[in-house]
Amino acid sequence: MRRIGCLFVPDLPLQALVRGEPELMGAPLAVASGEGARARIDCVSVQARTQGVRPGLPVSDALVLAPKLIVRWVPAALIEATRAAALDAAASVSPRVEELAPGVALLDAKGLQQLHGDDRGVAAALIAAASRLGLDASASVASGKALARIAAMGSDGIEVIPKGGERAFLAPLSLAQLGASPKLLETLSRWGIATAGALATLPADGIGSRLGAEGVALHRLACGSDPAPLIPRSPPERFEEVVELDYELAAIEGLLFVLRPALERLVERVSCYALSCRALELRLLLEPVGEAILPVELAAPTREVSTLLSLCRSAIERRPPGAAVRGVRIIAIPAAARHEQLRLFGRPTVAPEKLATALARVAAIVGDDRLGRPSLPDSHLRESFTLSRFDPPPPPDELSFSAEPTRATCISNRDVTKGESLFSADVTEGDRSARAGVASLRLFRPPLPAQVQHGPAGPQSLRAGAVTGWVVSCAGPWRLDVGWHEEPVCRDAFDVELSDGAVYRLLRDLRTGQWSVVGRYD
Amino acid sequence: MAQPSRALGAWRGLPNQEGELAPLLKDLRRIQALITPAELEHRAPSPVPTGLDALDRLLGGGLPEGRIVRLGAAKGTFASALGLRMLSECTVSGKNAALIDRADAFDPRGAAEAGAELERLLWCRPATDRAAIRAADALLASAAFPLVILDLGREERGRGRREEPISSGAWQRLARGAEAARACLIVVGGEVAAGVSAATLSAVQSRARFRGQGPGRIFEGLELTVSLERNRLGLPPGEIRLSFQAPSHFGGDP
Repeated sequence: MRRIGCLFVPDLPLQALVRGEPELMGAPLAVASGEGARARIDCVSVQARTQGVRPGLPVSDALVLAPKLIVRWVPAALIEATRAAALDAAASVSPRVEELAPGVALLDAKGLQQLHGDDRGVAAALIAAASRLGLDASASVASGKALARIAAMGSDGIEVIPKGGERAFLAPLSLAQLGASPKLLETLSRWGIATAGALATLPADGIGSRLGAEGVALHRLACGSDPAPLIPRSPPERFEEVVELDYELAAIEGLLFVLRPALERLVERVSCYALSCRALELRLLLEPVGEAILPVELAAPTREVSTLLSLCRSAIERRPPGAAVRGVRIIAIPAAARHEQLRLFGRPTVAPEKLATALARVAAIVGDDRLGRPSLPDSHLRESFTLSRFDPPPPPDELSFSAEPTRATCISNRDVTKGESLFSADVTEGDRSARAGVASLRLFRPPLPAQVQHGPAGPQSLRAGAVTGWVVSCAGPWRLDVGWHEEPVCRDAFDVELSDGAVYRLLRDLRTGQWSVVGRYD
Repeated sequence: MAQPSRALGAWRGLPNQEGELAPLLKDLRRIQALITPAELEHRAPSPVPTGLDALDRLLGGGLPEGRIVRLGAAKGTFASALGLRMLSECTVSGKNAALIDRADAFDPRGAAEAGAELERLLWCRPATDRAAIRAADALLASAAFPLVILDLGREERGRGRREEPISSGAWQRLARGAEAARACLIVVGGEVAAGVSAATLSAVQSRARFRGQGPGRIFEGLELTVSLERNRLGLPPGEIRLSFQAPSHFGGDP
C-alpha cells in the first residue's frame, strides 16, 4: 500500500518575507498587495492577528487597529523562491515530489522507513527540512494525495493517517474541507449531508447519476479511497534567490553583506538534492533602471558559502556595476558532487568535494584564470602552455609483488642514530649521474628586452634591467624556426654564464634583431 | 598511561583532584597544549624521500612531513632545481603537489622533462605575496597536497611597488596548517619568520658546466653544493654536491 507525504507551508508571502528577513520573526507582520487606497492586507502573522488584523482589511484600517504593525509588499520573485524552497525541502526527504499547489508539496513516502523510521518520522523529517530552509510548515503522511493534503492543511504540526483509518479520520470533517465545489455543497446541504462521514454512508450506486463525476470522486474520498497517482516533477536545473532592497547600495561591502544570507539560502536549497553549485550568476538590478549580469565561474562545484562569497566579490570587483544596486538575483547552476569509492590497495584519496572546495577557495583568492593543471600544447616553443582544470587521477595501487625492497625502504631502514655515513659530504660519481636532476629554467614573463654586445664568438656582454655583466661562457646558438604557417618564430638561443656566476638563456629574434633574456637557470 | 593519574595524585591538598582537573585537562588537550609521549612520537615528522639519495641522507631520510623547509634562493643558488626535483618525486609516487608560483617563473616543459607528472600538479600563480600566503593556507587546510611549494623568489626585473613583509603570524599559521595536514611546505626564496622553518637548505657553491669550444659549445648543466645549516630536526649540519642537467632547448615532448 502506498504512502504519500505532504508538506504544507501556509501563508507563503508572509513566510517569504520572514525567510528573507529573519529578524522580523515574532513581530506583528502583514503582507499587503495593491497600491494607494486600494492596498489590502493579504496575510498576517499570529501577533498581528491577535491585535485584530485580518486578511482583506485596507492597510490604513489595519494600521489603525495595530499602530506597530509592519506592513510589507513582497515581490513575486521572493514568493516564487519560497515556493521552490518548499519543494526543495520535500525533495530532501524523497526524490519523488509533486507540487499540488504553491506551498503544498506531495512526496512518495513509501520505502523511507529505513531512513526516517515510521510515518511520523517521515513527517518529522519533512518539518525539519523545511525548518532548515527557514519555513514554518506542517506535514502529514497518508495513503493518498488528497488525504495527505487535507491532513497537512488541517494540522499545526504532524498528522499521520494510519492505514485503514482514512474513513474514520475524514468522518468529522466538513465537505468543504474535502474540496467540494459550492454547487455540490449546496446540493448535499439540501439533502442534509454536511460531513464526510454522512456522505460515506450513502450507497455508491446512485451517486454518479445524481451528483456527477465530482460527486463520485468526493464520495470515494469520503470512503477513504484516494487512488490518484503521484506525478513527480523533474529536479530543477537552476536555483534562484532574490534580494530586494528598500534602499540603494553603492559600496561592495554592503552588497556582500546582503548577498551572504541569500547565498546561504541558495546553498541550503542546492544541498537538499545532494548537489553543489557549479556556476553562479549575479544579476544586479541597478538604479534607476538596468541590470548588470555577472557570471561567476567556479573552478569546481562547491557548497561553501564563504568561497562563493569570495568569488562574487572578485566578480563584482572585476566588473563594477557602475550604478547603485537596488536588488540582486542569484542564480545557481547545480552539479553533482563527485563521490569516489574507497580503494582496496591504493592510498586513500582526498574527498573530491573537499578538493573542489579548496580549489574554489584558491581560485577566489588568485583568480580563476591563474589556477589549474599545466598542459603542454604540441609546440617547440618552450614558453607555450595552457592551464587546464585540476582533476588528478587516483594514486596508483601500493600493493607490491616484488620481494626487492624499494629505495625508500632502504633509507628508512638504516639506523640514523648510529651515523652510518649518512651525512658524508660526497656522493660517488655513479650515484650522482644516476640521481641527476634537471636544472630548472626560471622563466621571465614577459622576456626582458636586452642590449647585447655581440662578437664573432657570440654575445660578449649583456644588459637587461638588473641583469648585467660580461659573458664568461657561452653555448649556442641553437636556431628555432617554426610556425611559418601561423605566427612565424625564427630565433637563435644562447646559454650564457655571466661574470657573477648566473646562467641565463638569451634569445635573438632573427626577424627583428631584438635580444631578450627569457630565463635564468636556477 | 598510568602517569597522569600518579601526577594527579601528587596534588594532595585539593579535594577531588581528578574531577576538578578533568575539565582543565580536557581543554588543554583540545587546544593541543597537552600531549602524551605516544602522541609526541606520532607527531615526529616522518621523512618523505626526495629522489636524491645524497639529499635524503643529509635530511635524515627525506623531507620532514608536516614541517616547513626553506630553500635559499639567492641569485644563482639553483634552489628551483631542488624544488623541481622534489616536485617530480612527489607526483611520480602518485601524490598531488601544489606549486604557488608568486614569481610566475615556472617552466612546465622543464618540469615535464624532469619527470614530473603534470596531471598531479596544481599550478597557482598569485599576483601578490599576500595572495600567495592565503593560497598556501587554503591548500594546506584542504590536506589534499602532501607537498606544497611556495615560490616567493624575486626576479631580476624587480616587482614594481614594494610589498609589505609577510608577518610572523602568517608564517605561524602556515606552520600549523602544514603540521595538521602532515604536508611538507617548501619555501623557495623570501624570508621565513624565525623559528618557523624546520630546516634551511642553502647553496654555498655553484658552478656551470660547459663542454667543447667555439660555436658548438654545449651547456651541460649545473653543479651545486648544498648545505644543511642549523635545524630543528636534530640533524647534524652537512654538505652535499648535486648535479643537474641542462634542460633541452626545444621544449621537449608535450
